Amino acid sequence: MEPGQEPAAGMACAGGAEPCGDSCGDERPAWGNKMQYLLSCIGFAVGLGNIWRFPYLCQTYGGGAFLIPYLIALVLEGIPVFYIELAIGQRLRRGSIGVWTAISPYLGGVGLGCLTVSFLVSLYYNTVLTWVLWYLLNSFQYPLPWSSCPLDLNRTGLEAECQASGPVSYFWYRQTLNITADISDNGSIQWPLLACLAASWAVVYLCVIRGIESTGKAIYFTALFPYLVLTIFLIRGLTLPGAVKGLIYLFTPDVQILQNPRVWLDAATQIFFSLSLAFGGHIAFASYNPPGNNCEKDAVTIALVNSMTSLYASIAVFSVLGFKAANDHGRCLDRNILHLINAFDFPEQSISRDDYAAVLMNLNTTQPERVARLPLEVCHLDDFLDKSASGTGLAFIVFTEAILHMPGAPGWAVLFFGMLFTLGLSSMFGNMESIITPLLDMGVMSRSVPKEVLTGLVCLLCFLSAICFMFQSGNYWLEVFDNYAAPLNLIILAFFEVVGVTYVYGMCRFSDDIACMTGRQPGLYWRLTWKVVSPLLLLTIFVAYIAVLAWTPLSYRAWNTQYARFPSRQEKSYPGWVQAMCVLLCFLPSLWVPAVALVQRLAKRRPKQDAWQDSLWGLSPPEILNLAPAIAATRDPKYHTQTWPFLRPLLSASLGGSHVQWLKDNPDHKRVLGALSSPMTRGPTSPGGANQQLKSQGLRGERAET
Amino acid sequence: MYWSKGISHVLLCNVTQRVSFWFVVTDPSKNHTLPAVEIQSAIRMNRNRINNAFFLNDQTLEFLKIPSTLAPPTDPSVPIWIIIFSVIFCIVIVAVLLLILSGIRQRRRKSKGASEVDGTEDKCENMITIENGIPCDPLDTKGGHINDAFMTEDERLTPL
Repeated sequence: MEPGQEPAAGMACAGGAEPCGDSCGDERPAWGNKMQYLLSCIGFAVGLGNIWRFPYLCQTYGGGAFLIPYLIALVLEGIPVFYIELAIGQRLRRGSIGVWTAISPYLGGVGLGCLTVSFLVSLYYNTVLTWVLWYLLNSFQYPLPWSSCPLDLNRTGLEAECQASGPVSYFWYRQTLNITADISDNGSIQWPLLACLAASWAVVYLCVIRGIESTGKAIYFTALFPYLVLTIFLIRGLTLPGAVKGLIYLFTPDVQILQNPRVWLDAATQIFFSLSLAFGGHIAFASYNPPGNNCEKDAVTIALVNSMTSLYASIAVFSVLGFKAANDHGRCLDRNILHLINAFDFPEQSISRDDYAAVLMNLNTTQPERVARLPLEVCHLDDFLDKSASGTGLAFIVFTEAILHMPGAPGWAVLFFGMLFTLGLSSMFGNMESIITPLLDMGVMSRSVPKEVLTGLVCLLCFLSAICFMFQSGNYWLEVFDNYAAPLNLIILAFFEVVGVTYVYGMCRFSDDIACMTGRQPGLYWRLTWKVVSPLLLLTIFVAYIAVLAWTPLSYRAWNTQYARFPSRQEKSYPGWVQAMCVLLCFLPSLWVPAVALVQRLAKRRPKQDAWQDSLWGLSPPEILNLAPAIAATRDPKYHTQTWPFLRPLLSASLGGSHVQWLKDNPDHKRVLGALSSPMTRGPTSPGGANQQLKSQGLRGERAET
Repeated sequence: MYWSKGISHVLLCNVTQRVSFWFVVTDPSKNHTLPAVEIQSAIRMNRNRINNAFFLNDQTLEFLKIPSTLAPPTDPSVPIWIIIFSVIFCIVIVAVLLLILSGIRQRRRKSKGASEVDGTEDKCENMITIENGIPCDPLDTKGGHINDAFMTEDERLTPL
């Protein structure tokens, strides 16, 4: 500790200290053990995006070269913002709304914004889980239902739509979604999917029914099972033919691609969403921690585990995709070989796949006209390897087709969809906690109502709202939500988070809080990234994202059987009202921030009535006394220094000389008024630093005597 | 006797790529050929028997203008996904009910226990409130002595 620094910071935080945020006697739930907390954060961060977004980005942006912008973004933006969330949650021991209201009433909107975004995301995230559950339920049969087309009406051939598109796409678009050709055509509710939606919300409710008490137990399975399955898939995938070639092709770095600015933007947004920042979930999880927990180590560990999982998953995924590409390439060759054999009357199986190229060249030189008339396809392995997919396309079409060709297909399908379900479930826990914890802290329902009722009501509300995705056009709406509801809002909220903690709460105070919790002040790396790098980076991402959104036309790809180039998806633009909804979704949750700030500003300017109320926010004396605990909970020193001079005569006036006895009888107010009376040695409004120093030493001297 | 003559006495004509022939079915009593439509529907119904007679199948024995009827995949009477879904759903509902009931029982036990214990102890005694990293005054009433925090007033306050 350097001599110039505030010595109090090292002496603070005696073991078991309870910060002013909690009122006395209110037991905040706590984690069963550290492992539950770590697994919950890891489960929240590791989600479906690690499986189906990161491998796609790796593949599109030059394989191994993508890791460079990814790691840079992780170090400069991901880990610092993540650390802030964990630290502030652990320090102030509140959910997202409580934390930001405590930092400054003007920032209360950040918490409400986080709540809204979490609500919107949980709606469509659980819909994806519904689809995964549907596939999981259908995997317990042989042959798998997406392995063959159904027959047409007079049973003389295959269903026309299926024959054109392939059985896997048909099962996804027709038998699962029963999708319409246009987003404005809602169609009817899909009852099987509705049943699966009810089941998946019931499972979520079962796991979050008692808050972290129940998620702490469920997380052991839901967070660890995906790693087990990924390992099994990795081992199986690496032994499949064609897997290694796929891995080499997909990981070979193409450094030229780093010159494209889109790569850097996508890397930054990927690390941001992959860590599930600005949802309020990590704040909620950390708020249940003991104050002395080392959150710095936690932040770095969890972020690294998340990135390692992305890499691990992409190896497993690429090896299976390599196998699929090799398979498709082989069948392409087989079709060409059959054409040659039929045309030139070769004996059956006389041309193997390896001989094909030589035989074709031979025939081309001897009889080029006959060869030219044959409908031969061009079969390059690289073309098949390039066929990439992300999101639901990867999970429900590409990967399911790859599984069909693996021996023991139903077992692999069960494992795969079970893994996806548990991955999504552990992320849902974080989403639900980020909704439930702020509501509990705000005291939306009275203390006598059990927590199970609140969680039940939240789950019921989410279930009823998510029914809109169960219509035939549900997939199109899900894409709207996925593309527009979350990304921009999260970036805005994260920016306010970093700026709020670093500049409004105060870097010095935050550093001391961290020293209090972890035992040492944050180093230069943290200070630099928090003050300068992360806000700038977030601002840049925000501007770039808006530019990209403004540039790309608002359109979607529809599954239209009447389309001339079916089974290619038809590019359609959104109707006007849907476009308006997209823009609304982009900004609505973030509007809480200016709205709450405006409301707070207007509330401060209420007309004054007499001298008492002149300086104390227009409140009458009894109201002030009642608000004393809340006043103490706010961290702004300006409130405290103004309050005490009014409260002291207030007490003498209203209670006479027996105010000490009154204080003994009112433990809450006693503790709080003590807090109000202690001098503030830091803060933007306290004058006279030297005076403060002396006063604080005097205070400590007095305490030592008593 | 005929087989010993060997293959040289077999004459071929109108050779095509595959073994194929035309045929008509006559009705000796009525002395006319049966219409093609009737024959086609009859062959359709008995396709399997005809194939088996030749030890061939639908791909290798083709009747022109009679598309083969494909065998539909075997559908269980109740789709499998409904069975598994009901199992999972029942387990989840039972678990939820169990948890809710145990929560109610716990709460009843706690409220019974709390009403027996007298009053609420002052839990604030041992709490050290923290402001800016500095422990606030622990205003405890141990021993009931008057707390100096409220006696010495003005020196400790920030002048406004």
